[in-house]
Amino acid sequence: MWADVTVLSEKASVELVRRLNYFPSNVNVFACLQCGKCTSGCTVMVLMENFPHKVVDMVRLGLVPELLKSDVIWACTQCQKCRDACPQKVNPSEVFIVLRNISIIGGGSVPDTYTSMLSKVLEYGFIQDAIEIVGSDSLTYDRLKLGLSQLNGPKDMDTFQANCMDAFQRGA
Amino acid sequence: MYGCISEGCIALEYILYPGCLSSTDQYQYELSVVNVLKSLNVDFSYAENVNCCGLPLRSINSYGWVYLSARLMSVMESYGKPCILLCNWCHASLSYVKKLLNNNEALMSWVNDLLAREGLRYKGDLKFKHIIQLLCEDIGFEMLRSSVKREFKGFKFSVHPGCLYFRPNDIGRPDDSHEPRMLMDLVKVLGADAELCLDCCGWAIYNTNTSTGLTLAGNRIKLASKTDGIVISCPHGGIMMDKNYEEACKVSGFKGDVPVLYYTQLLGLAIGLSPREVALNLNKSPVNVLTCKLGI
Ligand code: SF4
Ligand code: SF4
Repeated sequence: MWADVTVLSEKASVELVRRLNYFPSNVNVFACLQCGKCTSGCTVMVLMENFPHKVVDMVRLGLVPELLKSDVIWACTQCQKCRDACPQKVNPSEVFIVLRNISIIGGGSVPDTYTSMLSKVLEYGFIQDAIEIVGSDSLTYDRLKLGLSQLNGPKDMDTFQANCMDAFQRGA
Repeated sequence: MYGCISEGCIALEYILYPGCLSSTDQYQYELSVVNVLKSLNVDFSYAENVNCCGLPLRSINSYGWVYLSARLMSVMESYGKPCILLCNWCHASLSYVKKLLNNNEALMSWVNDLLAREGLRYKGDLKFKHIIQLLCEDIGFEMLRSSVKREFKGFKFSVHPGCLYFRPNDIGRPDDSHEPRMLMDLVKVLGADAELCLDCCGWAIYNTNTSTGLTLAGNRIKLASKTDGIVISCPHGGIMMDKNYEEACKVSGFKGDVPVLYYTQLLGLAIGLSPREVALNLNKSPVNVLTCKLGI
């Protein structure tokens, strides 16, 4: 049994250096004590059965491929409670981000809302175009009607888009 | 205590970056900020050639996020003025990327190579403040107290600073991570009582799981059922608890009237602006309950 864990840990180390540290994000899964503080305060623990300490442990055991196949990596609202609560600076909220990044780099699907936000950023520079709002007086308002200036997105849109494409594909 | 006007900060001129959600959707936030700043004689102009801070897209690729935040900072640096931000996410994003870039030369040169294609360069000396920070530190409580024309005596608000205003501690946040008090103090200076809530509005999970997001928002609204309303200072909270008010209440089985409004809307009313001037007509939660109580 111990031998298995060692093998897994070695595999995990290689995997972690290669994958988790592809981005400088202060993730430190090997310092985890499995104290469960992250999970006890997790915003979505009950609603989504997300147990961040388990995710941290799985990463440590080299079970990253299993995690990438699971929806759990998207079951986190990035409230950062676990990050502040952890006595060991493991940074569970960041583990979720890195796993999402790795999943997408590896060809995993991107949730629709994120695809849409990215395409709007490429088009306008912002995650959505300015929308119309119907007020409580039943009138429709936009920036112009409210006396607000037009949106001031990137001036050189072509270069901005090319840069976004490069940056968002880094690591792929 | 916080700084105040006598320290002279207010003589500065600022540039304003409202951020994606305030400038494309939560107009009541941007408009109330603009009108409050004008009333308080704060000089500002809009930043141009700007973009999303990238934090909402970090789940796709962290390098994309770093590029977007670095670009935004490099553009705003060129104005040579401190920047006002309205969104907790923007503020956290810029704080985080600033820290990452300061500690990572390879990342810095990578991002500057990209920026150079647009003739931009990230130097790292941008000063930026969240509007809540600006009100506490640069304008100060004395100035605010003396501007109040309509007191909120007898009112009690549920104060919602929003996760990223005070978390995560290690990237440096404006307020204490366990007991954030800026927004509390700002509400109290208007004569109202305040209770603190550190819950999450659920915006980020709403993107991938609508019902979980709405349940979180609805549960949060429920917690404020015995107060005169929820005071927010981040457009994500505005989307989840005000714009989605009806759905959120339905999903979490809550029936009741809890006005949800931005602090700058409340402040605007307190310093004598009309409900129109703080765009209360754009709120979706029952803010009329509040205006009725005020008799306006
Ligand atoms: S709080 Fe930190 S040390 Fe404790 S289980 Fe979670 S990640 Fe591990
Ligand atoms: S950041 Fe994610 S994992 Fe951490 S407490 Fe919040 S919802 Fe849970």
